[in-house]
Amino acid sequence: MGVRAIGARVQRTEDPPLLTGRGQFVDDMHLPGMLQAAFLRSSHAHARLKGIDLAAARRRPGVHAVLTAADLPERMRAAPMSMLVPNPAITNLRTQYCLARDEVCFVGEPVAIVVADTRHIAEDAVAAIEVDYEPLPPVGDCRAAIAPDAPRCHAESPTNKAAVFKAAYGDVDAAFRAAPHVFREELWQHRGCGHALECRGVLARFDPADGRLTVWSSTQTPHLGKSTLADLLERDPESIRVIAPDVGGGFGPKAVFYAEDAVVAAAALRLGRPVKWVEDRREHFLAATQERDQYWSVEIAVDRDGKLLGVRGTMLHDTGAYVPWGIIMPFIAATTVPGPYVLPAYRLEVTVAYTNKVPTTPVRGAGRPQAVFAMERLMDRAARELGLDRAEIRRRNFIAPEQMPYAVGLTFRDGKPVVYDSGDYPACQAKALALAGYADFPARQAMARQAGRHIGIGIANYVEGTGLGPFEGVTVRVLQNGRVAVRTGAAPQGQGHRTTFAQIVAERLNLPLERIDVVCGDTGAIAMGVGTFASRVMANAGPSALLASNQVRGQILALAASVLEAEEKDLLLEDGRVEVTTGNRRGIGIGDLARIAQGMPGFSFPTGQGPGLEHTAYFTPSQAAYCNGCHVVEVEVDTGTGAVRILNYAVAHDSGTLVNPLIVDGQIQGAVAHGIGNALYEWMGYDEAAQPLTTTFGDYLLPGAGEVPAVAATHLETPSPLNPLGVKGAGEGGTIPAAAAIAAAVENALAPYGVRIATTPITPERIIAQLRASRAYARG
Amino acid sequence: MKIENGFDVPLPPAEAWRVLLDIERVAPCLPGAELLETVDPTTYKGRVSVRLGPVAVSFLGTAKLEEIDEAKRSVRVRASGTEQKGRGGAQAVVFFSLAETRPRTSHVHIVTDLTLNGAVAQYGRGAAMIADMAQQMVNRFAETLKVQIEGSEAERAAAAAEARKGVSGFGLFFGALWRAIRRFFGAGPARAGE
Repeated sequence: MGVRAIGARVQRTEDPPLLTGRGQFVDDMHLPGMLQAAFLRSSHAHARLKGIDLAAARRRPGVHAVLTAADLPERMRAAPMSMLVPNPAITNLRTQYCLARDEVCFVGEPVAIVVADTRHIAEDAVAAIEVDYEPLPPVGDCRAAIAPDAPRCHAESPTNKAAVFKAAYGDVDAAFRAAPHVFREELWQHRGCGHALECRGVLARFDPADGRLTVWSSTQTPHLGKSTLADLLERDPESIRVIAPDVGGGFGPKAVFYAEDAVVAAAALRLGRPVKWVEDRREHFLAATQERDQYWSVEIAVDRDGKLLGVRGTMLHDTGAYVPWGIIMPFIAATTVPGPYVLPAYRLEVTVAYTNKVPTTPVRGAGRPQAVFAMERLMDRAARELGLDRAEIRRRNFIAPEQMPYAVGLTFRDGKPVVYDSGDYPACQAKALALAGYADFPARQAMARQAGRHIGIGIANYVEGTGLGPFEGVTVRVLQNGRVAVRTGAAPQGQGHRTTFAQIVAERLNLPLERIDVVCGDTGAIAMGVGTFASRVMANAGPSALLASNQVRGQILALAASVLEAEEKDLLLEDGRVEVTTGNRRGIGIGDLARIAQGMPGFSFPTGQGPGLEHTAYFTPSQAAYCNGCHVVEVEVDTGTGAVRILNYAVAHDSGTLVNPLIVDGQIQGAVAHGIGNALYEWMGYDEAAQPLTTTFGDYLLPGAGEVPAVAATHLETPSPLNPLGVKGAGEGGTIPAAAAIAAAVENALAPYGVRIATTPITPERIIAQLRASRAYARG
Repeated sequence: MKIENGFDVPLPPAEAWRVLLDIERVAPCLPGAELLETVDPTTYKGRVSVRLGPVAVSFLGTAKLEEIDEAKRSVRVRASGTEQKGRGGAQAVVFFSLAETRPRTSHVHIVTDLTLNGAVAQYGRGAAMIADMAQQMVNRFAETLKVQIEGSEAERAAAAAEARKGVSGFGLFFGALWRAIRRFFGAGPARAGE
């Protein structure tokens, strides 16, 4: 029997080195002659740069360079960075200069870099730089920003609107005119950060011996880094190599190309010495991209049975000071609203506004948590108004499995129509409800209420477009020592790529995992790559690994047949050897075959044989693969303190075929933790002048082990027809419906007081304020 | 943020007006303040050091008396400073007005429009805390000024030395913190249903 690796709960091969302190993160690397950098960042949300005095900083002992925009290479000095994801709806494009030239537009925008012997010397020199800022009026609130007389986020810009667009299908106004019931909600999800355990970091080395620039970056997108650096530094792309070494978490903010990466590389080229910069936590709060800020004003139309007739409304997205990643998030949000439901008509009018805050780009969920919050809050509202059970109203509206593939009527961010490829939404909710003990909940709640406790349950469903193209390549190569090298551009940040790709290759080559070496995220190892974000890697690189392995398997057997003078059908590939299953079981190791396939100098290959046992496959999915899930959460609210405790968290999840269920369980657990943070704790606060106020973990609360329960997860496996593995993405599903489900549970717990949740995070202050307003504390 | 506070001076308005505009005399009364240079009769350079709990910040900056209205006995000062370790800055427009409240006692009403930027804006965390700190600084200023006006030579020297030390350690911070805590729990909720 062969190696059954796909679908096995294989322990991650990444973990032993990480757990024994042998990981190699950017900050673990120390190169001979290496210097350290620190950035001077704007302390103003909006100001004109009138002058900058570097003399004192340059005089400090141990300082090698103090650079401003004027000292950067021509392309970096002359124009802002390129926008990476164009969209015709963007009519007012603003991207950042690598170092600010004339104007700073958010607190934390880099203005200068100091390179010194050590970080502390660099930081002291940063403090010695004198900048003459002329403060300009800032705009901190996107609702204020779109008023005609609002201060401009960019002084020379005619408007603060970056883009205006509409997602729509069906005759929504007619649906609303005819509807017996229409309900309206005003919703707001506030912004938070990605907060990977490891902040950003970059180390750049120019080697004059070979003219190559090597950049180690804590990034999700090394190939994007390479091509962007080639443009900004105006260098031969082939002379640049970007490596993502061990990376301690990404969650979206590390998918963006940052100015700091280019500036550090430029400093290394200028000084001829390696330069390293590692972001500290405060810088991460100030200058790493954030997400969520969206204001929704939406209404739902339903018939008397609770069947959906339409949803319409407006949404305002705060993009911060620039649009480095385009308008992906509001676009995804607008196309995620219909979710798993048959929604006959829909229109969302979206405005994207600039504010003098750090730009927003995708953070785990990428616009979907907001959309699911909107849709699920509307469903709960309709259920309450019509006196329907919240699970029942959802059941009545699900897209049935036999309706698959299901065309929603919208265009997704990849320019393709939103067509759900597969899934069984009613079964998924049923599994989650069973896991959560939903049927028994009313009895539990009644008992709790008798005891003076307030417990509640909430449900939220979602459908997520995952596995976006264009491609992700995988090279599989048999080496002369009998090991198999696997190379891919998809750089991991903790997702276990090395384990899962090895599983796929192991199964196809019938080889133990220990003999497979996977290298990810090195532009020197594979020509092209896209990156790890948008729950896309398994659906892109997974099939590539499968296709490349199949090719190599074919090469091995063909060569073995020739060498062993046997028919291919009589050969068995097992444990790194090919044997003839008949006769005296002659055989040959794959290492020896690899050596033969390298050929001998000056000798031609026999007819039909090619060089090497190697293949690179670039699988290109035709469209997104849509995963789905249902979360059911039980909470207890302490009406004395306003604190919310999660009693039980149940997830049913369908991301198609699972390559490694253990890793998917971990993804769900971690993503739920992220969602709990968004729902209950994380608040990136700014004052009225757009000055960030929460720049430590004392002010910005992340959920810890005490707040995050062990998630009970169950998997459905409806294979996607879109790729040969049947896989869909699984990295974000745990986050997407969490806030909606928790809000519903809190509302349910406090139903006796009529508390309504329309905003996250659901802080104790907000709960107490609502309880006070509903006279929960009134005596007598 | 807008901060309103005030203090009493044990002098009639005409005399108080003269004393208060003698910047070189009154500046040392402000805890942690140091007058570095008189650029012209209405422009001064100086340094103010404050401790916000565990964080010591020091602002180097300029104050300009933009408008002096002798008749109304009011002064508008525009001040701006930069924190000396690169942790941001502060801009303020301060409006002082002087009125007689009791015989031989004048009250100075102060309205400050303060803007903080950079790290110092984050240390402040909340306008109420900063307003409380400002009031305590003003109180200390008034006490020191009172000693300067009424005290003996020895008392004046001691008060000046004390003021030079700046806002001492944690005293101001915890005073402000205590007020914030009292405000928070002042109207705390009873348990629902009781």
